[in-house]
Amino acid sequence: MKKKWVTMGAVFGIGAVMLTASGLSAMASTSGYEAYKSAVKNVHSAASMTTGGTITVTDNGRTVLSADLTAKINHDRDAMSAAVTVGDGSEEHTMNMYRQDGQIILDDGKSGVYKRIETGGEHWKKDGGQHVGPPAHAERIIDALMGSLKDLATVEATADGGKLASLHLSGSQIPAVANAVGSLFVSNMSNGEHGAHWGGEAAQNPMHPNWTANWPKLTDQISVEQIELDADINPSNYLERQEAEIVITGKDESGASHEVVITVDVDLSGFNETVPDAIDLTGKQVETIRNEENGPPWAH
Amino acid sequence: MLMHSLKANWLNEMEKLWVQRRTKGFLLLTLLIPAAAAAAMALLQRSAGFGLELGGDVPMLMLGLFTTLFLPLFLMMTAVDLFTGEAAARTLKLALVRPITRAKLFASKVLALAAYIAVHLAAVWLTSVAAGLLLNGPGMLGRLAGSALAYAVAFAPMFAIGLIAVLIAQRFTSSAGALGLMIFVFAAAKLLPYVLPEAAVWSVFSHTDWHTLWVGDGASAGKRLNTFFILVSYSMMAYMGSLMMFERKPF
Repeated sequence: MKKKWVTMGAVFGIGAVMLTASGLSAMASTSGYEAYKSAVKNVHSAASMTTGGTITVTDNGRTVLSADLTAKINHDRDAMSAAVTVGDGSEEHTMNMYRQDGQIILDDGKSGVYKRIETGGEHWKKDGGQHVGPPAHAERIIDALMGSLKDLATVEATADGGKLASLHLSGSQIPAVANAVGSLFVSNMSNGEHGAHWGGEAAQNPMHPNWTANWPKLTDQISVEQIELDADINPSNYLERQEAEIVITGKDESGASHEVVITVDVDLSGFNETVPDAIDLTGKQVETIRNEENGPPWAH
Repeated sequence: MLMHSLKANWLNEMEKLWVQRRTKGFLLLTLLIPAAAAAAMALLQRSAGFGLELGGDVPMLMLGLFTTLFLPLFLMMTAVDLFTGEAAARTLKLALVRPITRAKLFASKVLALAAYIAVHLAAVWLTSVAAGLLLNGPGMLGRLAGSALAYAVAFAPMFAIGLIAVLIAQRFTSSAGALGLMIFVFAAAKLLPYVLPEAAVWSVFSHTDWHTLWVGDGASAGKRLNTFFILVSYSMMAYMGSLMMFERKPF
């Protein structure tokens, strides 16, 4: 009789030891997700940085959209400069934007007229000039919603002493929400009214060229096949480069298969030592826009 | 002969579960929910006006939904039926006068719970695969094996949660009390990651979606094994803890 209780107690004890060991080992294991998060937080804490970004969209290997962005941001000086080049595979177009002395200056690169938008300076300093990352509760909610998906992220040491964090998802690994949003995005960009809408706007507004003219018109079997996220983290634990590749497949009306690849490549550099470019408007044609209610979309 | 009494009572316990209207009702729900979700997706696909291929996602979406919410709740009610309910109705005595040890009686009830989990997982898989095939046939076929594996491994966290429900059931003489505490524990465990993210790794309820680690070649073997050990250790402790209480209980 006594033996029975000893056996039961022993099994219970082994279970407890096993739980402690696996729990501790799970907590100690280096996760790609945590490595990435800490590098992103460091980027948010930097007072200034240079961001170089490229977005490329290809359809069966043919480029249908490319956009280059270089942005120099300095939170301490409340200044920023950005240059954007957008091309649809046949034409390219460059725009510049500056934020200096409490105003935004836009240069569409075509008309030679500089647009000036007064922002009143304070608008940009919503959090008292302290630039911080997403609030802690948002981070917890994202963590909890990610669930075990977090564990699919890997991390490996690189030759320069930094880290490479990756999250590669394909097929059934892709959450249904991501599949639905990605598929809707591509079909929206390439179909019906939205395409026409973009085109119509482009006619009047040189800031919005017709991006989507060369996109394939997908109508059938649209699905997100692959999502690959890679992040280079430098030895001082700053995020240096981030690459996202999304592969979406589908068929057009004639039944031809298309593989649309959206690549976003972002380089970050010049942490705490970036000085944004400034523009001298003396002697230039300037149009001042005063639009209190409808400020630029990024000012909200 | 020894195994015979276990098997006989296992079948007996499953039959007792099956004759309850609640068991059939939950199984019907398990069949209807994926079907309803697929119908909603079909409507969405149609109204969107272009061929989104969402059908292939139905099995994984449903597995997520059932392992997070429905199956744990069904299991709690079944554990209460198997233990607290029978003790309250004083029918457990009848089983104890049969030539079967308490340990085997306990094991046969746990096995009935395990069969319950397997039947529900199989039902969800079959319905959602059928729905996926109807929505977009060819895209679904390539995902059959992967989703079958995901459903198979989902058994482990569900079994651990079922055993925790069995453990709680031992403490109670009233079904309502047992179910109340189980739902409280379940809700608290589900909130834990939002309040104390560091503690979540210790909770079995945070690993209900561990099947994610088994789809494709995503997670390393070490990660899978680590989570597996957490699930097994919870199952061992809950089983032995419950058995110790069951053995000592006066009926």
